[in-house]
Amino acid sequence: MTASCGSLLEVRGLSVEFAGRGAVHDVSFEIAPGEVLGLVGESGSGKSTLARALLRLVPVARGTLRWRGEDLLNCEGAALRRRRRDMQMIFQDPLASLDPRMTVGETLAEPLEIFEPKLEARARQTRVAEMLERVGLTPAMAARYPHEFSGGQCQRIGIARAMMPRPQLLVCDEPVSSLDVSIQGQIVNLLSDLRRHSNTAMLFISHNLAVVRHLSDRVMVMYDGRIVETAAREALFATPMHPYTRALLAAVPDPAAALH
Amino acid sequence: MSTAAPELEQPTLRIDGLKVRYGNSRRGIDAASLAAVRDVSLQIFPGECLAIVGESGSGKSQLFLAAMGLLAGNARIEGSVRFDGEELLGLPAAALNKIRGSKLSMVFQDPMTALTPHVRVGVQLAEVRVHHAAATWRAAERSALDMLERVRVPDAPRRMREYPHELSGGMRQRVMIAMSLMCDPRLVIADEPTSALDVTVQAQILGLLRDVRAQFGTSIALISHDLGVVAGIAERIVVMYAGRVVETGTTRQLLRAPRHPYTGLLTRCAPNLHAARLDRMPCLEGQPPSPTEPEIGCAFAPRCPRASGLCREQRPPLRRIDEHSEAACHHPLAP
Amino acid sequence: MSSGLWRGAGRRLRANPAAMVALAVIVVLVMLALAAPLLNPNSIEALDWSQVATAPGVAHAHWFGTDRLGRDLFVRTFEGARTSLAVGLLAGAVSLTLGMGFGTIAGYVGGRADYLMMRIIEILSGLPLVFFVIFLTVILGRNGYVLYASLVAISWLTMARIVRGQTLSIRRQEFIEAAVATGGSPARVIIKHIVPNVLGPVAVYATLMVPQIILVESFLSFLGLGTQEPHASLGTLVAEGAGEIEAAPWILLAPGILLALLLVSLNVLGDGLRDALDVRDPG
Repeated sequence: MTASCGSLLEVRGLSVEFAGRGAVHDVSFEIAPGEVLGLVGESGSGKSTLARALLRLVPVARGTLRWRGEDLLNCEGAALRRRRRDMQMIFQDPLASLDPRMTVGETLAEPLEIFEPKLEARARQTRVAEMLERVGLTPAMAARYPHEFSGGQCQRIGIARAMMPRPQLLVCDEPVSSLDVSIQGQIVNLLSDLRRHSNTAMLFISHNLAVVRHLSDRVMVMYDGRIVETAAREALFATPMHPYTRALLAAVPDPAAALH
Repeated sequence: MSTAAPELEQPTLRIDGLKVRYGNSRRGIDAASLAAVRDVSLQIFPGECLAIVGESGSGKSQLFLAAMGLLAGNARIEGSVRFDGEELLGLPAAALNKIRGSKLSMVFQDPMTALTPHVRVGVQLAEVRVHHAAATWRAAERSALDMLERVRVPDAPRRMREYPHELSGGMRQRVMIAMSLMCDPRLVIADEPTSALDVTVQAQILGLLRDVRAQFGTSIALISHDLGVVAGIAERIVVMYAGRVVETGTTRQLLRAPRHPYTGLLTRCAPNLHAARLDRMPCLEGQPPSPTEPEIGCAFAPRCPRASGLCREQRPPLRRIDEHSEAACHHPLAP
Repeated sequence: MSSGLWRGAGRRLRANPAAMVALAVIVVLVMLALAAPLLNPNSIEALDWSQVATAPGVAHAHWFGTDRLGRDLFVRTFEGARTSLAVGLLAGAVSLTLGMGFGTIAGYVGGRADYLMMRIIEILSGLPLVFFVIFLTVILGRNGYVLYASLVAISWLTMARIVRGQTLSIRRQEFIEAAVATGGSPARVIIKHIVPNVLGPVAVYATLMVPQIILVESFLSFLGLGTQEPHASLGTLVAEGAGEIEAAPWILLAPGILLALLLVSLNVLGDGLRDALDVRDPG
């Protein structure tokens, strides 16, 4: 794919530093419209920092970041906020990412208040109800508070909030890592459905390759702030090149092998 | 992974008919409003690793917190918990404190909150021996250093002087495991010890628990929501749902031929890189019931693909299937 | 705003006997203070020469007695209560608003702005109160505004510090990051997310701030710098009464007891509020 021709997000030589130490070094990649790019790495590999840098939530030390060809790094203030409509995020701790003092309905209405301020209250409520159903919840839940819901349900609410402005890219920072294994699939399958329905591109971050496998078209492996391998999904799982990738694959417990 | 004939040995831990409820009702335990554990019995034998598997809210943690006497004051506990023959429930605090931390220890899910943030690691470890075994500080610190090395913490002498926040998650969990082993316990309760960790570190910690068992001969109660994680280390598994035991059996039995539909579904959820890739990631739909909901019929019926009218009306009792296993289901899966 | 969480707090507050008693006492005092002129025919200024410095009694409806000038103490005491409460609540409200604004902005924006704002607070904190009041009096003359201005000037500083501290701890939480990622402007994040979440602890400090303001006002009045004649505040009354303590102790007793009751009740209520709001309502 030629550089920046048709790609949604183009990252070149991105570096992020914290307190003088590098957290992300010289990272380059692209995401095409509708594509799901998996990003795998351990804690401390810099993947969460990278995600936040893409959304301009942390300062970038070096490199370029382009959204549909436009420079994203020199965007500030109101212009940057307008851009946020296209790129949204879902977080690792579903309950912590929701304002405990706002009802679910108020949380979901906020993106509409920001990006479609002319919408009437009634129309907003309808959109909120529609979105709740799309993510597998009921409209009645709009009146309740986050602490009344389970982890899986809170994550659905987080996804609903992120999808409200109809973004073209969804950055998912370890969205299922804090959920029970039996529930993880619910969220992964929901993201899969949303992607099919709205052709939303995604950056899916996880420390668990087994989860990434279900959703990604391509996978990047990150270690100590650097991308060590990038490959199409099946290629990565069938023939991993980098020793670190192989180590990650070996670490996923194999229940069948355990029986012998 | 062989076990001696269970009937001949006295279990290290024996839980009978344990119920844990919360509420302000003075009208007795059944009138209280929140049932965390509804009626659980299980046994752990010397040297064995028993896994207790269930989703969040199944009561698996509450069960052992009750056994250890760590629940809040408004918890109402009924039943019996015998540790090496001695009844723990109702034991006065002084006697309980002698057992807790030494013969019966616990490793918690989040090592960051379980370790004291402002005390050095070496001191926290040594403290256990000083307190329980009346050792001198010097001797205790030597034991602490030795233990850190046995749990394979690299550069142990340096780690002794560090504070918990200076260690990585995996390292902290090793420290917690070391702390639980300081007084040569008969039983270590590991409550979701790897849930807060990366998959790679998880593998290391599980390996460590395996080695610890081989070295020390201690029993382990491993609590987890992930059947795949426990498969590599536990001989027997107890599956819990909504505060009750729904199936027990050896690991081989449960993974190869589960009888309860819930267990069957759980085995499919364990991420498996070696199976063919599916478009839909296997999972259980819906949610487990809330502990405040009253129990009508089988608690799993709303989510069960095999549920019938009988299931919705009558709660299936736990039936013995063979020497090692039991299941609570009206329509168990065929072997 | 989320009424559900406040309702949970209300429930817990109602279950707290000490706080409920304190609330009842405050309500009764306020009602008495407002109703006093209707209950008793005497005016606050009328000098009853026939009853100078008399002990409490029913004659001439001097239920709390009279002072050195023959003024009825019942009406004066409750007028004092009205003044003290008005000062406390009004100065409290202004301090709260100023402190919230300053504190949330300093805490949220951080960096240079925060640094400057905190230095301003520190410098102002260093000014001695009495000195400041005298200074203002010299410039603005002796009027009620000086009193209010100086009380606000003192109280908002602590409120700003407290709010800033609360803001700093909230700012790191993930839902604030999520609000920014959603596209919220700093103003929206502060007003819609930070303020409602710091309001709990701040409300507690606000209730504890009111008795403090009343106390400072009493202190200033005691020194002659506060409320001026013929008006009274509990402080001026206590000052008068202190001078007559041997000859006519009732002149001190009524306002003194009232002041003590008011302060203790406000403090107990504040404690109760903190306990009620402290718990993240689990249902």
